[in-house]
Amino acid sequence: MMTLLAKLLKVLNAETDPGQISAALCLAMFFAFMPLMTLQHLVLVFLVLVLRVNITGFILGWMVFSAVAFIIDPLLHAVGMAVLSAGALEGFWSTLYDSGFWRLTGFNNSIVMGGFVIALVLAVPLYFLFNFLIRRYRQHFLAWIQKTRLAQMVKGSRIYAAYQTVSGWRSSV
Amino acid sequence: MSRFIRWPGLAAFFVIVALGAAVWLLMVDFAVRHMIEKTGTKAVGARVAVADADLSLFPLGLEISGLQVTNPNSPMRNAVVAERIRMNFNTGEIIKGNKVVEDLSATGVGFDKPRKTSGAIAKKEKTSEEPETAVAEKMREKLGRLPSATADRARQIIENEQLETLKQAETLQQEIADARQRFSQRLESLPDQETFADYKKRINALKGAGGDGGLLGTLGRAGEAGEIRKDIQADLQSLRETRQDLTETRAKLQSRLADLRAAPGRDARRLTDKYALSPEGIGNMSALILGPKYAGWVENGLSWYLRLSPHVSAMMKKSRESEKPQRREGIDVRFASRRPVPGYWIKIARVSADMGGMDVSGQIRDIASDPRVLGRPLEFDFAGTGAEDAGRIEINGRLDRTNPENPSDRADFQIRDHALSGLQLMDEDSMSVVLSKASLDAVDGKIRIAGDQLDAEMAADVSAARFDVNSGEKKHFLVQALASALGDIRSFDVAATLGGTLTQPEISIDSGLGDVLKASLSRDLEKHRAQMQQKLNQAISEKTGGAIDETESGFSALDGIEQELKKRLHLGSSIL
Repeated sequence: MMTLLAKLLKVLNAETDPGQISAALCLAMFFAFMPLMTLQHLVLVFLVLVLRVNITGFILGWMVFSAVAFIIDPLLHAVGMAVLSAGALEGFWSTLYDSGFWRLTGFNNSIVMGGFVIALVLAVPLYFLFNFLIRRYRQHFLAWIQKTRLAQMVKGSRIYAAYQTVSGWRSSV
Repeated sequence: MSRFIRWPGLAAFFVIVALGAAVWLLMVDFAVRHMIEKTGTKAVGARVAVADADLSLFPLGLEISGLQVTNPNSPMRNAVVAERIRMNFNTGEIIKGNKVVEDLSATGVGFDKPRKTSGAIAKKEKTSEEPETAVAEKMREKLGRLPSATADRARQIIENEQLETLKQAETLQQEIADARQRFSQRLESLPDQETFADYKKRINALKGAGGDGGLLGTLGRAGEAGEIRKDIQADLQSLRETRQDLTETRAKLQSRLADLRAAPGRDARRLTDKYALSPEGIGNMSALILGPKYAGWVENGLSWYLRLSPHVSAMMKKSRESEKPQRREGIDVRFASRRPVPGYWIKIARVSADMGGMDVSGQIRDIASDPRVLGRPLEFDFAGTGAEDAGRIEINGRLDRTNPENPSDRADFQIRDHALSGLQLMDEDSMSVVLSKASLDAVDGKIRIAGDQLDAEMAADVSAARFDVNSGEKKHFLVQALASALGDIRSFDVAATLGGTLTQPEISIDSGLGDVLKASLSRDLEKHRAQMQQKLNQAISEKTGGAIDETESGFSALDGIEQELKKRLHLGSSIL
């Protein structure tokens, strides 16, 4: 049982390059900013599982961005409404509206559209920002954190020992 | 490639999707059943239960079996039951979020069936809405009620009524007292015995003077005697005028007294008119007998109409009010579609039902959440026959909400040769009337609802009728007479109308039944009326006799004044 749990932890903590963690966080942002269950969510789950991104990072990011999405909900709605009611795009949206496939994406929902547009705009800048922050963290704070009493307690636990056995634990995490 | 792709993740994805689909397939039937029960219960206001729900994917459809919709006004009865409802969805529209049912078939549909357990739910307190029962009660009140079984208790009636006799006696007594006072005061100012005694003294003095004073003295006494004569005649004239006035006043008061003596009879007639059913009023008997059932049907029909209509309106309202977004839900923007479709739309529903012993089947077309989008009204068309092809029923109509500001609904129905049995027409404490057997030869009706304005009429011919009339604990003459009269009635016609508004309907009923009952009951009613009037007359005379006697005794004072006037006139005349 302990080994099985450790193997799961191994999967969750694999792909720990800053780029892989940043990509996971960006995908989490897309996932969280579009609150309804849509076709995109299935695609995002597919990407998270198939691409070599950090799954733990995705789960944590999803939780954090969900809270952010709740706070900025009026902004998401306003942006979504602005995009959907843009006169120049009306014909385009009408064409999509008559398509069952595109209706599965929920594109005509103000929050889905607003969340998608904002996530799309923020994705690239945030990817590089997260990369930068992760590197800074590892350079300046990781050694200090590993010395804390909490980190020492975790390292002394049985599950940590099992985890090291199955994964060849890298101290950089 | 493997630098970017996590191949085991692909397997994990399919496992997760498969697991999700499996859970969905396992849970979806339960979820659908729960959703139907929850939504239905909320809409109806009483428990809606489904025995089983089965969602199929290929083709996409839903089958509901054992549907029971409790009658909210009678929780131990189901308003509607259906053995099986099968619907086939339009997959493409479902993907687009539109609940479009290509066809629906409902079999084993029945109405007003008994339940094993109560289907009542805890109700929220009503706010400003008037209770529905009050509407039916108002309609029944307007139709009238059977006269109370205690109406012939004369003493009880006069205890609760103000008698004109007593009021009239009081007024007359006061007028007699006023007259007595007036004439008494007038009598004091009139010449009396003393006045006439003075005249006598003066005359005697003139006589005693004899021939004193010579010729001049004689002329002077003659002049004085003339003066005295004039004074006496003037006094007598005053007395005569007063006596004449008194006689006239007395005559008027006597006439009023005679009228007062007749007042108890008038009171008795008035109260008889009020409390006894007159032969003229018996014409309303048709409304009294047929009204409660008709009012019950109207109440039930309107109750369902009002209960279901808001849901259609609410759905239409939702699309208009959707500008106010819910947090984390947003709003679904609707774009001009090449083929617009309402949020939900049942293109055609085929229903076969048991309606009052008749196998009725038909179809309802275009049941839609927003008929504006569809541009077509809901239309229905049903027809059926009774057992062994006996009888025929046809119902058709439309609910036109294509213009929400001006909704217009209509229904027309015809029934031919339908056998009725055990139809409870009236159930009151004083009596119950059951149409135990009858043949509805022809019924034609139409219902129109424009906005909240009602306009409906129905005409029916009934033959081979058999009535069962049961009186309550207290035997009422009318019930007995009615039982006898209804026992002889075999055929009659009914014309009923419905007007007013949805919340304040007004009904009226006219029937040949009333004419027949009127003819049959007239003699009994006249007899009862005469008996009641006699009893009332007797009771009123007993109650008012004292007041009338007291009034009459007031005349003795006037008689005394008249005697006094007569005496003075006699005295004055004797001097002359």
